[in-house]
Amino acid sequence: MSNDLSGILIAACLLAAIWTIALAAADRTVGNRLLIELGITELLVLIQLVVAVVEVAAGNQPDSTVIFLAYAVSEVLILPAGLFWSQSEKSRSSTLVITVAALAVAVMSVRMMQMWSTVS
Amino acid sequence: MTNPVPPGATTPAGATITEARTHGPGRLLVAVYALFALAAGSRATVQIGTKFHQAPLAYLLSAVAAIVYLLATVALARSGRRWRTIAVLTCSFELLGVLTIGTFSLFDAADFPDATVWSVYGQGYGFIPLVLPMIGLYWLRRTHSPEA
Repeated sequence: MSNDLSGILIAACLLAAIWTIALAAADRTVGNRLLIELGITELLVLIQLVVAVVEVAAGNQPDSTVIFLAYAVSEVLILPAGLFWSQSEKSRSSTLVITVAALAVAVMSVRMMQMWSTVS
Repeated sequence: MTNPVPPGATTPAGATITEARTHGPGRLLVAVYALFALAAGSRATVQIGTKFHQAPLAYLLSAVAAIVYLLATVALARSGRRWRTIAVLTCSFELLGVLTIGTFSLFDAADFPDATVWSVYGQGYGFIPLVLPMIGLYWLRRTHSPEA
């Protein structure tokens, strides 16, 4: 696992979180530029999953491998689920659902970095 | 942009919509509950699947917590009096659970060797498991209209 990938992914999540908080504060709806940002973030999550699986298959054992992989898999579902739930009712609070999803992915990636740090 | 279904709004048919509960901030609550259902569920699955014998009590409680989170998520998302009742019961159960297990985990570390969602009042999850049922119960109370 590269720390660069994790770093960029976490930054993308935090950007999405700040962006959606700003949208909710300004009482504006989710636009195309945010959707593109979320798409890129989801792509990074998918890359992270592939890298995680490849690394573990190559014999690297992070701290609690099963949980490490479970995080990688779960993260893939969170942004699409959050976006779906947020867009099925347009309101301020619904926009903040994306904030919650993005922050969850960020926290999970930080945890993955911590678990990976035991692999030299 | 406001909440599309404010409390007391009427449908074209004239029926009063009293369920502000499942809209606006209620949907945000559902999202956070869903996340915790996922977190507690995965944790319990891993624990029971890989090291059940180490701490059966703690891991069974993890599974119970996961099921209650899932039930609460569904109950908060669905309208109707019955779902509201289930939401109140599950949120209350969670508050009781996090307070009880949180306290036990402080004094009896042997039975709780690693973090369940409720250990040390949900410390491993930023204490959200402690705050979440309180917000849930507050929301259920705030959106409750006695004539509903």
